[in-house]
Amino acid sequence: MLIAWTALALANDPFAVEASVHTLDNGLTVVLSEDHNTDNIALHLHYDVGARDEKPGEYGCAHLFEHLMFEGSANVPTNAFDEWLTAAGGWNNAFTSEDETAYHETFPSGALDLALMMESDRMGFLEAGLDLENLQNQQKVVLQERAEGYAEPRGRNWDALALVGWPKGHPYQHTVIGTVADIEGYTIDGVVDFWKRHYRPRGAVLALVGNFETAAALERVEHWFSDVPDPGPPEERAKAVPIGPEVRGDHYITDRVEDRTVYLVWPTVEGGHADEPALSLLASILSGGRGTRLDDALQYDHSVASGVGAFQSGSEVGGQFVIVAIADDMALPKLKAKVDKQLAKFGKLPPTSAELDRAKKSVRAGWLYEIEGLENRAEVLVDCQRLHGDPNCRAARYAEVEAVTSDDVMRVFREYLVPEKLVTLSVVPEGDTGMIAGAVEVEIR
Amino acid sequence: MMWLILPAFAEDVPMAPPSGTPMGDEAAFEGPDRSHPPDVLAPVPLELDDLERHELGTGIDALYVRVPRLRKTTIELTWWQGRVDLADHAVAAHSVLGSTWDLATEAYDGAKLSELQDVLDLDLWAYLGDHRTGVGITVPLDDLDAGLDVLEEVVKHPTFPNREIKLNKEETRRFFEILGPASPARVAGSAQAYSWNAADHPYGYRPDPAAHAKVKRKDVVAVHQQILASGPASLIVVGDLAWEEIEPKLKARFGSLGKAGERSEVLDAPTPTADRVIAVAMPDAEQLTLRLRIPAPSRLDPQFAGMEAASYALGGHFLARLNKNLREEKGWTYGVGAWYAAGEKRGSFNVSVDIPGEHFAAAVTEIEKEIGEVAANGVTDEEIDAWWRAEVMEFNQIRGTIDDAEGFYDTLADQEESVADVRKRIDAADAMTIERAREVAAAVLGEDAPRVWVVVGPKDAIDKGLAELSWEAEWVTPRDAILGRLKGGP
Repeated sequence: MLIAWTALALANDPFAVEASVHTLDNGLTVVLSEDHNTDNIALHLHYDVGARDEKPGEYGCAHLFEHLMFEGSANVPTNAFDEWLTAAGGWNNAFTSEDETAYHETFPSGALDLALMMESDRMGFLEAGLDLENLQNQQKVVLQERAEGYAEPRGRNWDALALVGWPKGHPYQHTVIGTVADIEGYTIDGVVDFWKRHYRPRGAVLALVGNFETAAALERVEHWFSDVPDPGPPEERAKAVPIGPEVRGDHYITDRVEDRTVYLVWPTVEGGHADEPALSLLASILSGGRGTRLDDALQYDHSVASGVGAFQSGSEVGGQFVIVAIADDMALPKLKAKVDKQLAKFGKLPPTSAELDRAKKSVRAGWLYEIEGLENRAEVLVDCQRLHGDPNCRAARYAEVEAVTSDDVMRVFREYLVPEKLVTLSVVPEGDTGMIAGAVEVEIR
Repeated sequence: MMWLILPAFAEDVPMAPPSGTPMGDEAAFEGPDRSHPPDVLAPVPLELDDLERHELGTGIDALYVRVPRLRKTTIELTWWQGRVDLADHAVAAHSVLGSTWDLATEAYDGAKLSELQDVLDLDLWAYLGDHRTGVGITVPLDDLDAGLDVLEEVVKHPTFPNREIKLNKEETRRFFEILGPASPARVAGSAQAYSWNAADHPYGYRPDPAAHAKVKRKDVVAVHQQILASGPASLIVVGDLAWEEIEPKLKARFGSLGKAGERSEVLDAPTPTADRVIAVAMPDAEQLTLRLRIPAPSRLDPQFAGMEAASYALGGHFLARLNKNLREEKGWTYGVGAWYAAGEKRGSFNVSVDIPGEHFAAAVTEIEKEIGEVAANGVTDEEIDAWWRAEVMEFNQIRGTIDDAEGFYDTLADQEESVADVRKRIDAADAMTIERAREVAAAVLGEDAPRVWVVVGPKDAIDKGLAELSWEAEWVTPRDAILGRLKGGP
């Protein structure tokens, strides 16, 4: 076991979380952070596997494991993960993104051994629980999950954006949950193979935050994960595909809505890129509530739109800048023209120091909020460790935000938000013709 | 305290040692013993301080508690009068007030107030309920004075700009006409909520889009003045700061705002006495959205703990009986929600599930089967023990964040309870028996208890299920469901 690094909270650093990082012999990275303000412990275990790692025929498989990981492993029978943790007073959940799958639980401190036993069992010995009956049942549940999401208005928008916002062959160009055909097509051999390729200690980070003593907790982690085999380094992960002129133009879907929505999407940079802070601040300056550019111009001062938003989304191998505007009656070409007009105006009126300061403070407040609770803090520690090799990455990352100038914001605005890279998605009611002119329908299966 | 009884291994699950190969020399390796789940220590409830009551002036007090190590502090000014206490209930103006109170003041226009919230890391809110009205802030200790200035300004000098009132009315119209009727979940939830109260009861008010559209600024100002003139009021203060530090600041800003009076009282309200089925056709819906509500005891009723136990067994966790049946065993749904909501004078047991249309009748049958099983045989010792542990864990989370702490102590203030009262409920969970849970479940959830079902989805699927169940439904449109325009009453 290697103690790689220890961070001690600095008195003047509001983002600092006292945490230690350890690497077990099998390669698992462990982050431990004591908090004795409660009696509970939050556990986050993130695997370096997401939709991005799926090959054709496997689409949706990372998300499927979010379900299968609760169906039993060699020494934890079907449903026992939930039954045992619930019996101890705890709860658990999981989520999947393009880049990672996260398993997390919170439990009274007296259940630490139980949680570690079950997590280590499914990390090392899940194969015993991967049987056809469990697979078929969870296929049905995932189909229901997909149907429930799609049943709500705007429930398909993000999946449509994934399809049009990335080039064919890009690891983000399919949906996290998969198509109906994808979900129905899984085989037991396929999912076993997927598990063997991706679920291994060297591709995971475990964080514990809560009421424990670090040395004692580390001893229990080492104990329970000591027999989890190390099959070596994880499979090389899919890399970004260059985004060329094929990802351009205008697209639409119809939905059970009575209003119209337009998304404007520009390819930008992955998370952690030097331009990400300026792009994030640009989004906040454009749309961060009353007193920000697009919100005032389109929504609060003039009722052009019923909703407006802007954000920079930086995933691990790519990013997008997105502006969304919603209107009841206005055709989307006209609504887009209103957005374009404000963007042109922004190009001539750089952000003021007050606008920039507000945007930075907003980032700061959000990040501080994220480390207040046990669960969120564990997630932040894991993500910082996974992406930056330092569970206390937030201080350094905020320093990058603080360093952004008005010129930086204007530079990224001019570099990335250019018409020749723009993709639009119109969402309109069935039979409506108010989409962007010439838009091509997106087929979501 | 019962000991945790862990479930036995299923016979068809391998009990063999781990299938992996340990590192290094196998013969010398001593891996963890995975042949049984490790022991779990019972949690112990933490000691929590109670709210302290301090007089600030006539008709206004402070309910204060210090919670160590919280970064932010919450201060909420609450008047113990709400919508039902207002003259003619002023529903539409009251609603607009709630949405516009915290948007602009004499000193800060909307843009400035919004900017201040970002710059100060300040959360600002206004709350208008049936029996209380409040304006509050959550602010870092370093910016406490600035936060209090904002709170005072919002309480005393809101401007309710016509522009904001117009925007709010437009948002409300959009909800009534566009967003609400398009969402199966909102339609079902709304129909269920309005089925609970008669339209002529103060709790049963129905939205009136026409009245909402006519609200003028002067109407909103009048409701605001009415609230300021009401009493009594309290400042609920939760954070890591000393009373001596905050007292003079509160007195100077809010000490003169109190008015003598009585707290608003929860009203008697009848609950449904007969079965009812409300159906809403949404032709393009991909799913059936199903809701069930059954009248249940109030939180002050002797049956409360037994009902909590029954509710926990049916829906209190991931593998609770309803989710285990409909999701894990049948694969019909992504998840079933089931919960018991208990107020001061009445309560309800609720089930919520989305399913494919062809399973409508079968899902109803399975839900009734699970409820019937609890009514017939009660819950298990394992369920009671898990419920108690979950209660303790939730209690022990209270000091975790300002949101957790504020939520807990605000509820204490609202219900005029103490930490000891909460601890008694946790102890009641510890003392619960299978027989007591059965008695309560049989009395409350038995087949004679009235049920209100709501089903939303494609009409042909609903018709088929209704025929299979021999049910007759009261059909309403999605928009009528959103507006509470139901044909019958509770």
